[in-house]
This record gives sequence, structure tokens and C-alpha cells, in this order.
Amino acid sequence: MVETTARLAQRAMARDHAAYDALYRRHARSVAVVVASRVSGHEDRADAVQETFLRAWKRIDSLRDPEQFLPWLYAIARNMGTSTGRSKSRNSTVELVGDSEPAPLSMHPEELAELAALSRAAQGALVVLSHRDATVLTMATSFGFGPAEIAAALDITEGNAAVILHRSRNRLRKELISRGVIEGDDL
Amino acid sequence: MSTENDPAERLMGKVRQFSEGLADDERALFAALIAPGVAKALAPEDEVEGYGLTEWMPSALPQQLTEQIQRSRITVTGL
Repeated sequence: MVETTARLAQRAMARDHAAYDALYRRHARSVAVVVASRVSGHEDRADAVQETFLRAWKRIDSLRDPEQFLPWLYAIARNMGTSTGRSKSRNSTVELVGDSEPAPLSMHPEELAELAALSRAAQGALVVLSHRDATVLTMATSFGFGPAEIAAALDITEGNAAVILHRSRNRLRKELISRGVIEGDDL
Repeated sequence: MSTENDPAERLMGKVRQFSEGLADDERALFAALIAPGVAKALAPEDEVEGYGLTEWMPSALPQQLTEQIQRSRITVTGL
């Protein structure tokens, strides 16, 4: 039997991580629609969706009525979409917060090599990541593990690991280009 | 900031070299062995069940690992 959103929200209010994951899977697309009018670019929208869920999780104690979970979440999404649009132009760090892109994806050895090269180029650069993404990225760039090994070690799917690494590579490249560390066609 | 003379950084280089020399099935086991330490070293102080944000800087990892190891009072009991 499928649990209602309100029931899942109620469980999430009791810090049930699995319930919150279910809410994310169910409503990530509708949150993406909410932020779409304020944020341009697929990756920025994906970041805004992830950040919305991160903030909602941290503030879930402020949700009084689980029946109101969606309006409450959409309000956070609207604020997030607005602030993301504003901060992109002035923020010198890059936010990488998860993988709302469709999985599964694979990752070729040359892409992993590129990611490692980008990581070396970014030695002094500060990047804001979710804890999970930071761990995945470090496992790949500092120790040379591939998506399958990382997935097994961290109890996530190989597709998720590959998506995180793909997005990390794209965002690191974009960040290093914007700082003038590399040229657009260096890597 | 760590340097090449930093023992933690040198150790990480050796660990990576060691990992690269392993067979695929051994590497999978090795990944599972070191993953908790990496995750612990990168954990934000105010993490909430895996949803915390981390300030990730590639060059900071050796120092983060060192601090984590020094803070952890690892003991072996029951031998």
C-alpha cells in the first residue's frame, strides 16, 4: 500500500530518513517545476532542487502540519530558486548537492582521469558539496576508485555514483574555467 | 595546507599506489575498508543524517584524515 505524502511527512518529522528519501523521489520533479521559472540551466535547477530538500530536511521541525508538507516545501523551493538565481553571479564557491539527474549512467576511464586532473587543478579551490558527494568525489580522485567500487563501499547504486562523478566533473570544469585556472578546451 | 613532505599526503600517495596494484575484487574490498574513514574525515560538524554540507578542498584531505585519526581513540578489545 502506498503511503500518503502526509504520512511520509509525519514520519520525516520524526527524523525518519527513509521516509524523507521517499518524499524526495516522489516530489523532486514537481519541485523542479517550481524552481524552473527562477533558475535557468539544467544543472543549476538540479542544484536548486537538491538544496530545497536539504533545507527542508534541516527545518522540518518548523513544519506544524504534515498535511501542509507540499505547500511548505514549494515555499522553500520558491525562495531557493530566487536566492540561487541571485547568488550564482557573486558566489565564488560552487554548490554541488547530489544527483537529481536521471540514473543510471556509466563512466569511462578517460572521464575518471579527467576528473582526477580537474581535482589536481582545483587543489586550493573550495567547493561546497553534500557529505555524500564529497565522499564519492574523494574516493574517486584521491584514491582512484571507480563508480562500482564506490557504490559498493558506500551502499549507493552504481548509477548514483556515476551521476555524482559526472556532475562533479562538469561543475569543477566550469568553476576552474570561470576562475581562469584552465581554458575551456584544456581538458 | 599539506605539502609533499607531509606524512599524511605521502601515505595517501602510497595507499593509492597500493590500491592501483590490487585485483578488481581486492580493490572492491579495499574501498569498503577505507570508505568509513574518508566519510568520517569529510563529515561536517553539524551533519544531519547524511544531508549536511561539506566544504570540500582536495588539498585539505590529508590534514582532515590526520585530525580524524588523532581524535579517534581506536582501541582493540577481546583479543
